[in-house]
Amino acid sequence: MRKVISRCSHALTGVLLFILSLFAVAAPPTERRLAYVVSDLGIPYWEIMSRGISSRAEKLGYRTTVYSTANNAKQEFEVIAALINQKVDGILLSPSNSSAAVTLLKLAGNAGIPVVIADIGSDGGEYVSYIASDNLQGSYQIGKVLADAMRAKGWHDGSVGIIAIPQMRANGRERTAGFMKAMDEAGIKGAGLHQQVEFSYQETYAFATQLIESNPNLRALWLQGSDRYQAALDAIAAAGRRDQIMLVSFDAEPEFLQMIPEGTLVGAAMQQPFLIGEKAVDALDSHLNGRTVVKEQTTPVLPVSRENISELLPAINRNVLGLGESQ
Amino acid sequence: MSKASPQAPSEKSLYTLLGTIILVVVVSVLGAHATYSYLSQRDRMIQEMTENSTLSIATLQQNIAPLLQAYAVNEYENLVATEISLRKHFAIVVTNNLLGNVLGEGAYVSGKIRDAAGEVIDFRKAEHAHWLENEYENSAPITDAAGNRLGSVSVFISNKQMKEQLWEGFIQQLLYALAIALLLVVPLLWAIHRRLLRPLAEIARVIGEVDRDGVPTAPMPSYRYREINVLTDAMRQMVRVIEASRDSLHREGSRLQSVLEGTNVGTWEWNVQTGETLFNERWAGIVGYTLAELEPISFNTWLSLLHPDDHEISGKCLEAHFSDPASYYDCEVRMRHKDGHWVWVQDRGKVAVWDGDGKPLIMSGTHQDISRRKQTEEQLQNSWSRLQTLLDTASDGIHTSMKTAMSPSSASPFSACWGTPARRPRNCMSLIWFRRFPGRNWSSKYVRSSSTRRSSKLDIGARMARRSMSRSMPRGSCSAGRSTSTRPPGISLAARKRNASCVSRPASSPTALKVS
Repeated sequence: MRKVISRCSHALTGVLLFILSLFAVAAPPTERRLAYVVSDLGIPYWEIMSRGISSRAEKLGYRTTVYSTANNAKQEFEVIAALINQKVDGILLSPSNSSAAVTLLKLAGNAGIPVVIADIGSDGGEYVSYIASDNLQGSYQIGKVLADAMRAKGWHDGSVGIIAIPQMRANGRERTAGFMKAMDEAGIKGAGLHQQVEFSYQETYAFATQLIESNPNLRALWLQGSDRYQAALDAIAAAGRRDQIMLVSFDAEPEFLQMIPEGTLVGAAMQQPFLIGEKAVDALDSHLNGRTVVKEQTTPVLPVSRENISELLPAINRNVLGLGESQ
Repeated sequence: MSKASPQAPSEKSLYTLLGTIILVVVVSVLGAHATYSYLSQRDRMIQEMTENSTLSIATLQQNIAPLLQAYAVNEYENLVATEISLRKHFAIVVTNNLLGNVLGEGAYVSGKIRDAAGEVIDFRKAEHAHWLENEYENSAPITDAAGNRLGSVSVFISNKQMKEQLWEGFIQQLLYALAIALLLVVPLLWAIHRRLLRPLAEIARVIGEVDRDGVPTAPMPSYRYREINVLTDAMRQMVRVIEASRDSLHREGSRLQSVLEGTNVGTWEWNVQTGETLFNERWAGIVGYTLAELEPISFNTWLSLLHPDDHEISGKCLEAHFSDPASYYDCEVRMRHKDGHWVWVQDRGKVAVWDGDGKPLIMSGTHQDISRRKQTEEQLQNSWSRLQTLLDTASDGIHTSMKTAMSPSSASPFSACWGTPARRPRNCMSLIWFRRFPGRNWSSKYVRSSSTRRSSKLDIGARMARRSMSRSMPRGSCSAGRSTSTRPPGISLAARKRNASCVSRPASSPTALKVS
């Protein structure tokens, strides 16, 4: 009897092992993981872009993790090293600067991890695709908006001061070039350029004050970044030239949807970070699935002014402010 | 006017010689200079590369440290790329301990290196570490302000790269040397051609334009250079001397030709040792030929025309002259005329050149037709024969004698008749009439000396028979002295043939005479 039981138990064990092995072969593929490495998630632009990435990745079946490196190169390396150890399937990178991106790409490349760069760009290295705003087009068009506004007020002989993001960045150089082209075409003089280093309120306020004080004929300030618009407005107010100096900005803040119609802000060249995030995921997904990917992709920048804001509002809400599907 | 003789095959071009000398000198000097420069450059290059690597190390040490601390890897790699390009190093490798710690690798190694084509590429330790084996390395640590080690930087100098640079330097030196050689040789050759060789060529051309006597006819040009003008002046003077000598020779030649034509003699020149012989046209004309008809002319030409019976006497005459260089060769022989008859000629000559062994080399002389004289002699012989006949048939004795001296030792018929010749006055022209007296032998009746105007009676008591007197007349002997115009009659033709005569006469007594 024991022998029968033993034989039966052996046969049952064999059957069970066979059934388990069949299940093992037929098991679903492991979950694909993506990582978004961004320089500073505290900046709304990057936060909106991260939402676009997460939204699209989720739809495509990826699990996404977002890593903010606080504009710290060491943290960037630590994150990349960790991702290499985790053997993630792909990285979406918004580096702290284009120079740092080179080494990050090299490390990821050595580990065989594909990388898509979302904005900022890279000075070199191998990547799947680079998704960026068309800074040249956007700055040129917002420059024309400003020129029209100055001409409307008869200030075309006035000058324009620029508070710029670092010109070491390619996007910074493009923004300056496009805007200056529009100014040159309109015959409006430049009053000077200050590059942001700290991106702080005080820094922007100080630059705005210097430009106002050193250029009595200053009629407009152009901010290449949107987050410190209040510092510029405060400097204009402090100089007592609230109605004499116009403000125009690159990028967007939610408040701009009200400030532009009111006239506090002449206009803003609004990038579409949500859209960029989506396109970055699409590019990485295409690469992971063996499809051909365009190496350099640009998304248009919306030149929003009082005249067209109502028309562009749906696109602004979704692609610029990320107020669409995820909100 | 004619051109000078063409260039002989063995002659070398002065252009070639000067060009070779200049090339050898220039190439030797520049080659030595290039070798010295190459060696100096090699030492300097090694020193420079070492200094460069040290300088790069110092620069990178200072500039990379803050970038290492900022984890700005791409930034310091850009510095490395700039440094390797500027200073032409083989490789620069940076070891980053900070990033290595972050990545968990101990050290992050990166840098730049040159590939086989010399292009600067990213250094990857796994691929390129073995490239750095056996290369010169200069390393230094990178530290922060507190002296903590952040990593290191190494500069590598490639032996291959050094050799390539040395080769490049060698090629540059070679090209430099060639360029300098070209710059030196071409102007030097041009200057030599322009200032020296062209005037010499012009002088040679002028000298080459000569008349039929080989004397230059074109005027010798003048030049700006003293040394060349010395040469041209000397040549002008030489040409003037040659022209004067030629004129003198022409005059002398004309005179000699006139003498030869006036005396109607032929001339000959004989190389005794080779047999080569030169005759003039008159020589050939004496035997009825032209020179062209006698070609090829040699000593055998003369021998072939010489009468067979005169070979011996001619040989004796030559031997007599060769054995006594102070004497003259003088020989009368017969030669066959083109028409077949024999011509009497008198050959006179003397050895002009003797070789180092004292043997005759060149002999020259004249060739004179004496057939007419010989004919006269024959006529005289005939007359003498007739006189002989007359004497043989006459009852009186007759003796004639020339107005000339008589040698005391001469044994003449006259002396046979007259006894001792010592009694006969010198320089006399005498006619002696012998009368036969019945019952008596010869007696003298009267003798008168025309030279002394002195009369004397000679008692010829000698008993001399007429026949014996006639037999004692001289016959067939060699003529003595320069002239044999007075020959005794009664010589037969056979005897005359034997009379091909010669004399080896001392040059110091040309006028000594014997008359019989």
